[in-house]
Amino acid sequence: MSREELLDKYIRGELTVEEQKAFEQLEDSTEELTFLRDLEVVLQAEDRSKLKAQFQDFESAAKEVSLPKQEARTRKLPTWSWAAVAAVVLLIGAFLWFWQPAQPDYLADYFEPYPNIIAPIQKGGTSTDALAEAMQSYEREQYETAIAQFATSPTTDTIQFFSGVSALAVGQYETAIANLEAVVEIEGRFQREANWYLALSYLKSEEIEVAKEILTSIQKNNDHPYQKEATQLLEELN
Amino acid sequence: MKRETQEEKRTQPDVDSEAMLRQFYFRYRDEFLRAFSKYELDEAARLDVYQDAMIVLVEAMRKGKVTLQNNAKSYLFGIGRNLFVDRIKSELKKRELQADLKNQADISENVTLDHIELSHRQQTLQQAIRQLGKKCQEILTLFYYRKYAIEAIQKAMNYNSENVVKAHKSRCLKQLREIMKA
Repeated sequence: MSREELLDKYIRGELTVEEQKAFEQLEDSTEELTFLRDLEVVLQAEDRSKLKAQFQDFESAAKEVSLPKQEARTRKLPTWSWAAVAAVVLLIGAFLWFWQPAQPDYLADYFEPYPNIIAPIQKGGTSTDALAEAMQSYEREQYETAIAQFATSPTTDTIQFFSGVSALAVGQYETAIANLEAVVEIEGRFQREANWYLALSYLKSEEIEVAKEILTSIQKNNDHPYQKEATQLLEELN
Repeated sequence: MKRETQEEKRTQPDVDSEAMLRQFYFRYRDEFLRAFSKYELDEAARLDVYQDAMIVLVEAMRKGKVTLQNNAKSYLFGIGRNLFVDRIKSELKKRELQADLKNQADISENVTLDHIELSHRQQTLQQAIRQLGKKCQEILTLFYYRKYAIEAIQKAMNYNSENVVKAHKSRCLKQLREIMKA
């Protein structure tokens, strides 16, 4: 169990007897515990301000609704005109719903599927095992098939890496994040590469700040294969 | 987190959903404003009190201390009364009439909105939290304040797996620390 998990469990009062012992072994935890206790207090205060703001919004929204009602009483409109108004409102609503502000497509600019360096396909040959098949789909850019095929192989960081990149390619950002986070945690062959794709995944799921943090760590690492890209992307983001 | 039975789920408004919260908010509003009109505060002030009382009620309902069919309404009006007493007291304080109040029974011994005073250190943390993304704020709130289990967070925020929740939570915490350092 990690240090963070132990501290969390302590704060939440969830330590078992055994974990309690491990917790007592932790050194210098005072500052971290103060931080976590502060966090709880501040988050409650923030939650209250959010509730208050929501209530105030309800009030102002209710006021806006009640104003046109009074107008209607003085100036009766034929029924059909309400249908027309409703249609217009619906149209505007639909427009706002589907309209998204144009954002630069960082994925198009920066995403390059990682080359298959695992099982080079022999042209014309037929592959037998599941991993080779999955890699074949991956190389043919049939990512959804690849994801399904990767899932049948035993989980390794290699498989999670390529599965994550495939998910990113087809816009399944949460799956991408799940797989790539797992790869990043292990000090394996694809750890650094996974970090880059992870940053892109967070960026696409609009977790800009998280993405920036990862990119900054890449930027600081002089041996990182994606240092240049990360630096450039960070500049665009800022 | 307290597990709700199916029965409770059906009748207990989900105050975390905006639509339900709105409905719930207007449920007692007019009656409350009318009931306390004798305190002669203007309507804006009474609304302010109502909103504070609702905050206390929502917090109590989340903890399962109060339920809708049981005692939500009397709880809300009780808090309202205490809050009004507090308010009138502080108005009087301004007019230096404190002495008169010393003889009065302290009704506000009961529940009121215990105002959270943030220390300087906590205010710095508050600024840092506000710089986090929405999702980070939400996940940290659910975990460290609302004390949701990871599984419950996964459901509430539509995550694919508990592992993503854990990883994301760690990352948000780390990011928060980075902001504090900067």
